[in-house]
Amino acid sequence: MTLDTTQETPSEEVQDDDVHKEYHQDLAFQPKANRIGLWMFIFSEVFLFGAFLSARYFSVGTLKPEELNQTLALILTIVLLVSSISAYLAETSIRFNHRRNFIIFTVFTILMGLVFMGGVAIEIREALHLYPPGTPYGTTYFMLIGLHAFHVVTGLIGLAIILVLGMKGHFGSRDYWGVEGVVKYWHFVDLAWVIIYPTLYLF
Amino acid sequence: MTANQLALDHDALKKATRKGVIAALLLGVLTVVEFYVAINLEDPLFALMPFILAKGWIILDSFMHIRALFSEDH
Repeated sequence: MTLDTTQETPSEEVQDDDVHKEYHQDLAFQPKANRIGLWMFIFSEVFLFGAFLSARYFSVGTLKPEELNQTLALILTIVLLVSSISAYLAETSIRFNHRRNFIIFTVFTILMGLVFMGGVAIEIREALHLYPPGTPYGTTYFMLIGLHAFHVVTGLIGLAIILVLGMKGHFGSRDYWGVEGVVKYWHFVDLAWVIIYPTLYLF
Repeated sequence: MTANQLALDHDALKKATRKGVIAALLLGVLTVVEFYVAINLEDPLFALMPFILAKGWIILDSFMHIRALFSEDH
């Protein structure tokens, strides 16, 4: 009688099960690691925005041109705040498996983001005539507006990706990290504007 | 999912939604007041600081859930 050496002994099976369970426990902890990673990324972004913001005070102090379009800037600030609450509601909806609401709020957030970008385009067109990039204020203005607009565009791309994935049935109450990550990034874009807006328009 | 669980979920959803809407309303009011303070003061740098800090904290706490980073059960 020959012994089948390929067959696993019961103890080996138990060991395999343990490894399997451990692997799945690791996956369960993954969102926590992801969150820490995202926060580290956000902190690194704070330094980037901080450098650009300090450049404004270093080069021109709190000096600002009289021609700034205050009304448009206020409207854009409100638009971005509205987009933040709709992004929050999109995340909350998917956390509770309300896919239809998630899609509606994500589409609304994207629309608000596009409106914001349209307003920024108008501002940039006006700024090119009133305080061109070569002037001290113009340089810091275009640096800050450009950096922030770039983040809005990347946020919109992220929102479009989660929208498409959500429409295909991805994400749910137990797996919404993708949505959470993009929405957190969108809130960071809003947070950055909370500081950029008074820096450029109000001080 | 039991009916009890569904009811709990519905309550949690309502609570989370209410929290977000209150935060957004606060942000809106602070933004408008900030604007009026800025256009009515000669040098509004220090007068606007509380508004910036309050708005920043509301976004970090209510929308970005920064406190959850330090909680064990999150």
